Amino acid sequence: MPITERTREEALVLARRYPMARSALLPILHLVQAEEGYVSEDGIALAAEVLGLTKAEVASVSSFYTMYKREPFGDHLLSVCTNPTCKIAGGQAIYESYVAACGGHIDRERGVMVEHAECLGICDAAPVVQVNYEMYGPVTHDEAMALLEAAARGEVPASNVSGEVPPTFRAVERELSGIDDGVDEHLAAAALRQAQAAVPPAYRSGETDIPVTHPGGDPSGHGGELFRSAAATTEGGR
Amino acid sequence: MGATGEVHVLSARYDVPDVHTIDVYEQHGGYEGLRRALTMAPSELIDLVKASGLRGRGGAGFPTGLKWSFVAQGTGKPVYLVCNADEGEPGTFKDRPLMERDPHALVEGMIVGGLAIGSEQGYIYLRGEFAFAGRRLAAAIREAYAKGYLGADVMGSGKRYDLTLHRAAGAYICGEETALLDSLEGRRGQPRLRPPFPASHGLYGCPTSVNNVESIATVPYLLRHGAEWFTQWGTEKSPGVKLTCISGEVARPGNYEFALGTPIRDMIEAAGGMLEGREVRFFCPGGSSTPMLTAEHLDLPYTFEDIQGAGSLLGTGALMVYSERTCVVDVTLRFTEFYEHESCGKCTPCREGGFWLSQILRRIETGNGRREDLDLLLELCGNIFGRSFCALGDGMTSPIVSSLTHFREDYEAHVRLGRCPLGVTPPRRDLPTLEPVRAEAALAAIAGGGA
Repeated sequence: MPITERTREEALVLARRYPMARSALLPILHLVQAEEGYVSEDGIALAAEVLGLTKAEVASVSSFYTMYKREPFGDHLLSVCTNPTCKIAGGQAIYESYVAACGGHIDRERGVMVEHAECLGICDAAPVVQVNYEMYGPVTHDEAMALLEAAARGEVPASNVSGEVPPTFRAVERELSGIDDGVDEHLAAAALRQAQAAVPPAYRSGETDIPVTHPGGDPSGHGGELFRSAAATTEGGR
Repeated sequence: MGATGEVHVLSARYDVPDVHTIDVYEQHGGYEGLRRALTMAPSELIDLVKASGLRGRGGAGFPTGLKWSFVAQGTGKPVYLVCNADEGEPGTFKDRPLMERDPHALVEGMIVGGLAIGSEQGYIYLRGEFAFAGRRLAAAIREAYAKGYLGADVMGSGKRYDLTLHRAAGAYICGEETALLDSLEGRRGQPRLRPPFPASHGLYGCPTSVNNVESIATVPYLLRHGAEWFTQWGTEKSPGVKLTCISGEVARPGNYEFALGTPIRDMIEAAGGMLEGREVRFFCPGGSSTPMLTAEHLDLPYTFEDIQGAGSLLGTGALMVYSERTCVVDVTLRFTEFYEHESCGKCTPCREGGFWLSQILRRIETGNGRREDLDLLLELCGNIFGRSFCALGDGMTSPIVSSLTHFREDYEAHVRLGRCPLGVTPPRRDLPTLEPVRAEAALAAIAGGGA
């Protein structure tokens, strides 16, 4: 499914938040998942086009991070912590039962993906399961299996940790993109100001101080096209 | 040495209802630190933090004031303050509760930090999996803009400060400060070679300071109460208070706060002691990458210098306590699998070493180990430690070397019995035996035109 015009525009909004547009790549990939349910080919192409990168550059980044999913699965992602404290409290057994119950990691019919997670930073509630990044713990084996069933039915209860009912995977990905954080004007004005500093920010390679520019985008290496267009439309850059 | 024991300083507001909203936060002393900071020169702010002796709370323990004083000034480039909120060290859960319960403390600290190092832009690099913390922080930033604490004219001072919440996408390595900066620039999170250090060439090649959530959230308190107030706790080299995460086989695992210098035994006692019928056998004092210590180290004061003297590190303040019911080889295997999974792949010793360490530990735990495997593990660790860009490879060797030092007999029992003595992992006979391909064999295969 082609990406909608709205997503494209929102990707541009994210890019304008940073003095170097490429910084928006991680948020844009979250936005892609919000629309597509995973990082699709079209999504990679969109990020590449908006940021002036090649699709290979975008894919090399998206494949590095575990939160970017490579295939669609549905509305509910269950992550089970299997680090030592959770493991000895029963996390490993929960994970194995999940995989058995789903016949693998993805049960597309029920719209569920299960994964083992590394330490989720809530060891006092071991063992911990996350549903769409909302924490549940400590859970017994039975409670964990009930959570899987609830997710498959689309009736996930509120987290006992935060008290929040997790949004669907797409909705939480939209949240993670930051597009609805509501302070865009400020961030865009600040980014533009930095891009116009006496010595502006530059792309640099990981190991040298040599600014790296890409022929397709950020042609000056110091802010680029996006900021010229942003400058035309944004006021209050001073 | 100052007072020891459990305290409620940074966590004092945790149980105040709705303190995550700006009005309640203000009623509890919120933004008073910023008000004072706006009357001070940057050098005075840095001197205050230096005088408090605050050491970085992200693991390395580098003095925060000193770090800020290194940030290059007058380069004509923008200066950045980046908050490392990518909490992911196994056993660590102190920054997430702080951001969920008291998010404005971090926002206020970021503005003050910005004033100290001459930065007008801050980034909070938040671990992506912390959706709820992200919700709370985003709301706090919105409120702070609406009330004029953030923006073009901070509290009418004419000074500017903007704060961007940047949610990451799942990679432990991005907690390493230069990998974090690469990730924030929209790249794979891989560590950079230093020098140049971020203080002169950080984000976008500009002067940058990267600080942990807890370090930054401590600073507003220093402004309100002074440096001397902070040094009433702890020791000369480790002053102040520390958010501590106690987990494992204790009765009440959770988030506690202690004056530095509190004996580890007392900390475990504060967490309800061990579960009934269990005794401490080994523990990690500061997260999975800090070498394990044993029951004989329980009377150590919890300070950077004492823990280091015992051969480990205070790390992030994550105390993971295990009893004789937990297999030390299994815990070590799980930690090693973690590092194998989280190695970014940039440096060969860490990338390949993690794979081999896991293979060998797995075969020991499943009853397929050999006597020579123990020395092979140590040899591999020796070839990993200190040979990578960042400390992830070093951290990978910590649980292995320390558990082999303290509990070599456990490893030997696994090998001798051909199974885990505690029965944690059922023995397996179906594991493929992987052998490293020796160089001469590989060359012979190539010369022979095939394997």
